[in-house]
Amino acid sequence: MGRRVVVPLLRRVLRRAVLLFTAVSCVYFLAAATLHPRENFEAQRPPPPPAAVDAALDAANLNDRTPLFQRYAVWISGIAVGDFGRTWDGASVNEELSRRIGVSVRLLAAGAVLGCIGGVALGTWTGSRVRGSADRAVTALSLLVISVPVVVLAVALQHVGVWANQVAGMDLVRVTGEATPGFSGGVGEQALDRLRHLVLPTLAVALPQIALYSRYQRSLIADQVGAEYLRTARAKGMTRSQAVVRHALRVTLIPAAAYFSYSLAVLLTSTVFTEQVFGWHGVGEYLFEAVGQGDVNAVAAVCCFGAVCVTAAGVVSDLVRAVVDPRSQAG
Amino acid sequence: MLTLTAALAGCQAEVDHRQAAPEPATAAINAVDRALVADGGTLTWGINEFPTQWNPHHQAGNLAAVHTVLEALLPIPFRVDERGEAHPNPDYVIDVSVTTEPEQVVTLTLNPEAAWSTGDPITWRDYAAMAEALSGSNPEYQALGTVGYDRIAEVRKGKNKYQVVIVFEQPFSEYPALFSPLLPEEYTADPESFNTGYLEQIPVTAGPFDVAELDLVAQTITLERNADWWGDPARLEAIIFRTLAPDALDAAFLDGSIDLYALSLDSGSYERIRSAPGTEIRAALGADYRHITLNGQTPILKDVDVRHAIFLGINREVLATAALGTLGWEPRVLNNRFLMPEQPGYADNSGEWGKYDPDRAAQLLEEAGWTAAQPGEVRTRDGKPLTLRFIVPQGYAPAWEEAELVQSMLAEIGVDIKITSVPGNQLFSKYVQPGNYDLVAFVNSGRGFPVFDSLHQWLDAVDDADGKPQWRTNVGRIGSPEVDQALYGALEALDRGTAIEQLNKADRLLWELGHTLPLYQRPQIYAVRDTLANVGAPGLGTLDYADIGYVVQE
Repeated sequence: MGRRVVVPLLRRVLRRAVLLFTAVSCVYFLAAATLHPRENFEAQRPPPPPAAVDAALDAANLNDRTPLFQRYAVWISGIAVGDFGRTWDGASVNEELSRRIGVSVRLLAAGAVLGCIGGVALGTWTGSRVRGSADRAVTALSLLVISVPVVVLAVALQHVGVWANQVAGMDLVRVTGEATPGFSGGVGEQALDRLRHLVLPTLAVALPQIALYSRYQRSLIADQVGAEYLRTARAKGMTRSQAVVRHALRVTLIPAAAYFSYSLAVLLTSTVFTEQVFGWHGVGEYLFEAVGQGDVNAVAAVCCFGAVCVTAAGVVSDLVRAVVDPRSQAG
Repeated sequence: MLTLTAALAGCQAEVDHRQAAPEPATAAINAVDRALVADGGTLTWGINEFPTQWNPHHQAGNLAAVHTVLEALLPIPFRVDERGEAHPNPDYVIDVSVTTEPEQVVTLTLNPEAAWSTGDPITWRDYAAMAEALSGSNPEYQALGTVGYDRIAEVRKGKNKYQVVIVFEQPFSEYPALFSPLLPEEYTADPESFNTGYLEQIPVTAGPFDVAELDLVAQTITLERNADWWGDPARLEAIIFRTLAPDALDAAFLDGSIDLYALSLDSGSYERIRSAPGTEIRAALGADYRHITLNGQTPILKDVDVRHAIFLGINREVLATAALGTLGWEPRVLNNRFLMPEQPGYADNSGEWGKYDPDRAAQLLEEAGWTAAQPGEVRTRDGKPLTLRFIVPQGYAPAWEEAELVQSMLAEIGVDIKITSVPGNQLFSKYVQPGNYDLVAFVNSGRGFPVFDSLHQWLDAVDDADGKPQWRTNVGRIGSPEVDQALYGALEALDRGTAIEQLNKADRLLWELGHTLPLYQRPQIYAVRDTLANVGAPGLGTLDYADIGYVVQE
């Protein structure tokens, strides 16, 4: 990569940074203007003395009687040094958020990988035999999975898990949590315990992704199937499958990678239902609970994290294109 | 609807013997003598929130989960039995004496064996520091409330460090509600330690259990039997509290991952759980009750006759049935704001205002000048319609349904109810507390110490510096000097009989003032493994965590 690649790339990174700053500022104003942390105190019967409530809200920069811009100034100067402040009940947002990012990553990693690979594989397969009976069956099934809300899918999987355990008379899978609390055993047993906890949520994450990605990948492949270069490849004696996998798949991976990186970035902060149903205390649940408690700093922090993820996804997909796609070097 | 449920229950009787929940009891904990409880075992207890602040006397620490966990860990000087009577807890307090002349003095003789997990003994100094912290004299302490503590003149050492002498400036009959639970001096002596010492940790304990682990990632709290415990040792080896969302609690229970959790009546959980094998539903009535509060300062509701008409126009049995019908219980309305039917001294003080009587209600409205051309039409006075705003929190379907029932009942007497749904996180701060509503329903929760729990909800307004009345936490904005006098009388009467008399007097006066219509007690409902003993729905009482365990199998 020469200057001609690096300079525009840097320019785009800078542009994204400005966008990011604008986005997080908007998020803070929105959260601070619409959420009501005071309710946590006022809803107690009897509520604590008003002066004490103000003091507690002031301590966390959450007091709605402080001008919004003043609160924003305090908040943004904290962000500048990487401090997201405190929750209404006094916990460090940074620490809680990093714990929860860990949980979300552990929850989503396997499902996301499975979703990407499965989606591409399924979409490539159906895309090369459009309107065949296999394609119709897969289409119907994926539309079904896409149209079922994630929470319903998760609860259904959980029911299946409970039922399977009952039928088997043993704990094949565990339906809640990341690991059995207080579990003692060797490394192998611990790993198995975690695996049994991971099966159902991984399916709940992967199935909708497979369904969605496969639709996207199917149409990308279908566009290529009639292309000149594929006919040439087949004329040289390749089977249809060989030609699709060796040639068409490569071409389609560029737009697919961009699409995947954005949707994975969104996934990190949006799996509240999967997290709640399976009892994993991740980022999505954090946002959900924080909104419920009017916890402005926590909401803003999660949204910032989401914005950073999306920005990073953009940078990654730029990078991928710069490296893989020869055309981008010409522009 | 009820008949249908009963008929269905009848059909399935052969399949399942536990179709209807047991009738309300004072406590449903499967009380078993501890000799018959197995030594050992782990109880996994599902909770639905993971507290940040573990200091229960801090503003942010007043959560059900905090109390559930801490009752296994911190000293409770007085236990409450299922009839709401307080008794000294011999693990911490071996003798109590009260003198009243010239002022009220409560002397606690502490169990000298009792010690904190740091090894330090529990002494008068712990009580003295906590009384000072919660007295309200230093606003740096982010304390939840000061009721009772603000009446203490001093706490001093008795004949030795194991005797606490509590001198009250003004008498306080509900002194057993104080110091529950007790915190070590180290964490009450200065505001910083008080505010942050129990933040995301439980550093010092003194109970039958110890904290083994507080896992902030998995949101679990693991307690293990305290080897240094001086009382009867805990039967269980460990208790693990797991935090899960309501739906996940159901699944975890069915999966065998948790053994006990509080069920919500409002969801489908009860139906889903109750027929699971090896499951027992334990339900009891405690001090929590639901009520409808009227705002006595709005132009229409300022008139006591209109408030009474509303009281008479609401059929509370229908509301109780709608809320508790799932359990198959006979609806029972509550006619007292302070004492529960399980408690000695409970009396129905409703007089003429507790019955459902739409005719009388209509007549009252008529006499107050609210008239309608046709029965059933919205009444008007001076051209203004009799329209009232019932506010309900968004996203809580039972509250909406309840408001709709009230709406249709009051429509019959010509009162137009406009149901307004407001964001749940603004209900109190933007609507109830500032008096921006006509009707609202919510739950009063308590521990069976009626004055300690709710005093400020009933006290008359106090004029501020500009002579404007301040209602503080009396959100009904109705009061009278007589009510205040009766409540303070109850607060000061050390003789239980006099206190009950004063409470009933205050309650009767509140009925006459049309202040807040009590509806029904909210049941405590727990799904429990049927082999578990001494745990479940404690009603008004306190659980003894040392006795919880699995029944010895024959």
